[in-house]
Amino acid sequence: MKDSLGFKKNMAYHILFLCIVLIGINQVFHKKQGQENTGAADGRLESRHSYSYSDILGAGASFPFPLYAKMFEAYRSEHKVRVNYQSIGSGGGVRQIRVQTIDFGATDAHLDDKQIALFKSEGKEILHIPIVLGAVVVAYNLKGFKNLKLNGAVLAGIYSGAIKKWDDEKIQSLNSNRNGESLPNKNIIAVHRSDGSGTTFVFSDFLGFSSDSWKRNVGIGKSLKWFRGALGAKGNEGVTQQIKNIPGAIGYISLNYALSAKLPIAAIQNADGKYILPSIKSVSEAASGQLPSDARVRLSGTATGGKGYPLSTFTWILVYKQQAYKGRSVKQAKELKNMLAWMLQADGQSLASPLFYAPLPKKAALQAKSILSRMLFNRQNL
Amino acid sequence: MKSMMNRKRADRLFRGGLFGAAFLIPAVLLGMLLSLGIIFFDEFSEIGFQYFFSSDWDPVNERYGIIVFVVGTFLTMFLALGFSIPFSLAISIFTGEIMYGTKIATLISQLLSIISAIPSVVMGLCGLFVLTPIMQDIQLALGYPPYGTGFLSASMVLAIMILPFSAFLGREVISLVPKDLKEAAYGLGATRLEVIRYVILPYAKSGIISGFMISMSRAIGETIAVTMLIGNSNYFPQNIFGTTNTMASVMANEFSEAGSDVYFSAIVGIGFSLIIISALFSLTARKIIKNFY
Repeated sequence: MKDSLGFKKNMAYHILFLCIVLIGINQVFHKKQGQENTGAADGRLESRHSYSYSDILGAGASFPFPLYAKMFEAYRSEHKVRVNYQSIGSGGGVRQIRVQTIDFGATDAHLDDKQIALFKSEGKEILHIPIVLGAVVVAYNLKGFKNLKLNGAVLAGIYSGAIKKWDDEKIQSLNSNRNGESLPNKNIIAVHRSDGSGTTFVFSDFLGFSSDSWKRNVGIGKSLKWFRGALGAKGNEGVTQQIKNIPGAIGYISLNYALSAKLPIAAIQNADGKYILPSIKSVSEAASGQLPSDARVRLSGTATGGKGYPLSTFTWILVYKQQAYKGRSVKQAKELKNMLAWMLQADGQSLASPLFYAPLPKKAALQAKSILSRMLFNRQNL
Repeated sequence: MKSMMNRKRADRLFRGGLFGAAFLIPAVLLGMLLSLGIIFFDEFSEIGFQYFFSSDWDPVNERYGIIVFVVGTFLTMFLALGFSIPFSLAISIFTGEIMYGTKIATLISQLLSIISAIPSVVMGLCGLFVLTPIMQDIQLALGYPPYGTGFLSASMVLAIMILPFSAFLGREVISLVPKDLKEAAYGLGATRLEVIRYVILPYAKSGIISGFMISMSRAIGETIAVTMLIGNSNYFPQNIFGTTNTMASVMANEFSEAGSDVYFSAIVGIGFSLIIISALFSLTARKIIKNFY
């Protein structure tokens, strides 16, 4: 049987079938190679060769992106080294560094023990370098009610649907002794991030730390199973917009969004019982304690005392301790280390506060530098 | 003689080129399905069969079920289609028949093509800044919680976004209805409404329906605008203002931060299921339409 162009119709099906088989083989082959070789099959490695020698390639968290963009721009004009950073999200950053297609990853949530073990099983050791701190802010929309005070247990109640009204006893008891101001008998609308986010992680971490039932029933993560009445909005900007729109709404966003939207901000009770408003200072203060040697610490999930704001977090850059991988040169590794050291110095750190990130306090900065000095190229210190 | 050989070879090359181009699309589609499927089924033992039947989506406890998203996807799609059908039909009749060839019709067509070129994030933002405050007022007046977002808001914006596809195709097929058919009907004393109803629409039916099918596919896949407006709650909507989620929205929301391999596979699985489901849907729809006419 031939059609007008002279093809055997069967042949068309055969060729189509062949295409599918070829694609399938290619897939399986890539997958296998990836398992043996921990991700050799990635196009980005090839594409790297087209960059100039001194390019540094990074990917990950979007939360510190505005700051990193500023830092890398400044670094480029000072040191003539270009840093190419893709803000694809923390999860993507971890995945990319795991398959070794980039020089550094960036994340808002440090690797947990399970992930560390996973890396270890592939013979890889990751260093966490804290760069700056950020804060998650609880903003709300209640006309005429300023200086709201909240604690972790009440927030957990609001975000699990147990506390439904603004004049609930539990909120009242934290906000007594007001002259003239009273909490309205209004429904609370709890707004949360609908996209997977480090902000949600920090927020839920603090709620889990403050409330056992939250830890048990909801848990800690970048995306959660929220109660039915909670309202999801995409991105910091989406949550901010919904808080602005809806009277009686409450939501958590990163500090810079709350400040630029001029939303009222709640003071949060820390482990010393003090109600602390988020500010660059109180966020830095939260990290003033002794850090573990690998800097993997969740400030939001540990007791924060003194003048520290409890909903604070580090944001980290992830690099391999062993820099000799995937045909990288010593020069490349050195460039990376110099760049990271620059970020930790006053040059880099001074860019943080104008963009509402908190610079590392002294002790943490020293710790970060000492972690950085563990970077190796084969057996040689960088 | 030689030139004859060359021409034959050119003909063969031409044929080969056409053949390759035509089969590129199915090959790409199948390749995509395959690569998504491989990632999905890699962790399928962890995800389990309840993936397709459960409405419980809980990444923290690694429980994944997509039925809410499937329902949400079709709910917004049908509602958006329902909103857009009357407008799309009216526009195609207006520009393809009543005002065909006039400046007004051209202007309307040009405006429509501008709508189809608006990035969906802009549509979403417009919805968020303009539509949701209005919806909130309505919800407050009716005694519902003033979310503003929800599948109703999402469908309304979606309806505008899918409208140009069916309206364009409708206009084209309506303008192609033979003049003598129409004139014969007028000659028999039919009114304009009767001509449109009994001559033009039946003649252009298949083209109009194809337009709606394209609109539907577009509605199933629309991501950003819907994500911004649907309220993103992983539950079935409780009322007409309820919030829910669609398959594309969940992917857009959670893909970039999916840490564990199982979670990642579960999200890739949504993409896989979305392709399968929309393919099945469009096949069935075609079949039903064929049986009807």
